[in-house]
Amino acid sequence: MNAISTTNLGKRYKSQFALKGIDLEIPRGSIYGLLGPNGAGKTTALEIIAGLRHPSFGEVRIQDQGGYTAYCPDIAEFEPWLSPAEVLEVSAGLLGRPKPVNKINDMLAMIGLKDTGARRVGGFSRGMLARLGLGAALICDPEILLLDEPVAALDPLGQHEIMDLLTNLGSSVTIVISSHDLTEIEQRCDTVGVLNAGELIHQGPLSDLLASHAQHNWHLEVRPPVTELVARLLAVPWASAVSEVSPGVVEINYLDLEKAERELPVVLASSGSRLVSLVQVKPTLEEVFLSITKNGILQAELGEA
Amino acid sequence: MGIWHLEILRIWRTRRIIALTAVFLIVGIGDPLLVHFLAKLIANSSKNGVTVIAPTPTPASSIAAFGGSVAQLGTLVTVVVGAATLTIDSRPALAAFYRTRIQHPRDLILPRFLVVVVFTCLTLVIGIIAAWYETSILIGPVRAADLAVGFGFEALWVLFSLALVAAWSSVLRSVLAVVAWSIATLLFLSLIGTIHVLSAWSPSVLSSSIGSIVAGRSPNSFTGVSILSTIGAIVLLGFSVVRISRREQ
Repeated sequence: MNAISTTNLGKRYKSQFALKGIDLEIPRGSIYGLLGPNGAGKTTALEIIAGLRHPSFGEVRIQDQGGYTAYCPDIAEFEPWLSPAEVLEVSAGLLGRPKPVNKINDMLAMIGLKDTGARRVGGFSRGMLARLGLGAALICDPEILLLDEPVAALDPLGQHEIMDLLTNLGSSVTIVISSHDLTEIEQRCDTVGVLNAGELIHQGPLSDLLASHAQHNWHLEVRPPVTELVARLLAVPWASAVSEVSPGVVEINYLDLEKAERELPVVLASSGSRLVSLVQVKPTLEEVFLSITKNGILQAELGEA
Repeated sequence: MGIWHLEILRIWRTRRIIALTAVFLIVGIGDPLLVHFLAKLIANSSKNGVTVIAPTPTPASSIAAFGGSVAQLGTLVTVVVGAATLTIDSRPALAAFYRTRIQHPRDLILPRFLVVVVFTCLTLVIGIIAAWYETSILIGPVRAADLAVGFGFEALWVLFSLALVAAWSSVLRSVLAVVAWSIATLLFLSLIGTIHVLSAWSPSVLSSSIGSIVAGRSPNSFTGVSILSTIGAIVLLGFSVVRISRREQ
């Protein structure tokens, strides 16, 4: 069941389309990564879902269970004359869900701002504001959490801490993360949507996206030398390309997986090579992302031409 | 922490309350002093045997001077404080924080508006008390009842001015632009007030009404413009709420 779904959702600013009719399907309890290059429409999509912008056409359906949909912008901002604890109090209080002092303190500890004491938010760094933004959302016990670049302002340790925190929220919260940090998205998200120039060019489980772009490549590592092994592999019909990519590591591009799986051990044994490892080359999310967004841009350019 | 607590903290911690108090207190103390010593100041600055005769200070002229300063300096600081408070969308990320936590934008605008109105009126009372005290000891007695009635009309002017600021803040996003357009509109209303047939109906006549009341003008002469200003303030505030509800962040 989807927590959020959109139908033909579009946004037009004068003659410019920010979103060209997208159909998002965000499963309940998932961590959904919304990817795309700058200007793809990620922030616009999140702001429409959060109710901060009106769609030019299409619709958004939020099937919550009476819970709160929280939104954290990429650059969080608060009244500079409030303390972080007061920001959390205001955040919960405005929703009519005031929290006791111990809950506020627990949340400050959770987001790593316990030691800020009575300091006013006006002196906070961008990273501290990002943490506070997340805390201000979490203190409201959200059912849906929309995060626009939540870790962009954080150092690597901070990024890891915050992403750990989000991952540990469990399936009671549906999280939508817009991010450029593809490594974190790959590690944390179970579902992804890829936007490019206002169009949704891919959506589905992350594993499906990676599998659909899997290359037919192995990295075969043996004890050098590899000359005899390479010569024998070049002779087999199921390998289209064979090369030594680093000392002792041979990259094999296979045409027929079944044949390759049956015959590789035979070739290996006949060459007298000593096996170290055999690894299926998997594309990273970054490689897939670059591949599909470049294709998208190319297709758009061809379409315009 | 609820929205009312937040708004009271806002006016206190941003020191806007100090700005308002300082301005009304300074004109409340300074204007009666100036009126009292005006003749001596002019006499001391006269040269070459030229004699300038200043009018004899009266309680009415003292309060009128105070009313004039309230109309100008007081209105200016009220508009600046109002614009800084009411221009909700001047900081988009902060606006998103509030907008995603309230049921309706009126829950955000009305507390901000009312807290500024109440605190501006309270600081105006401090200024009036200062002017009354100074005038009483330096120039002559002033009827407290006249000051109370005058304050009522001045409070209506504050209400109208801030409603106008709220309306502009729903159209513009920059605090500076809201201040500029609000001042321009209030000046335009003052110009309308100089046209004889319209003078009784321009809300700007309320801005220095306290001086007129102390000078003996009947409070009944302000009835029409008071009703018009109150209706105008409600309409402007309603316009602000509707515009901000419809406006995208």
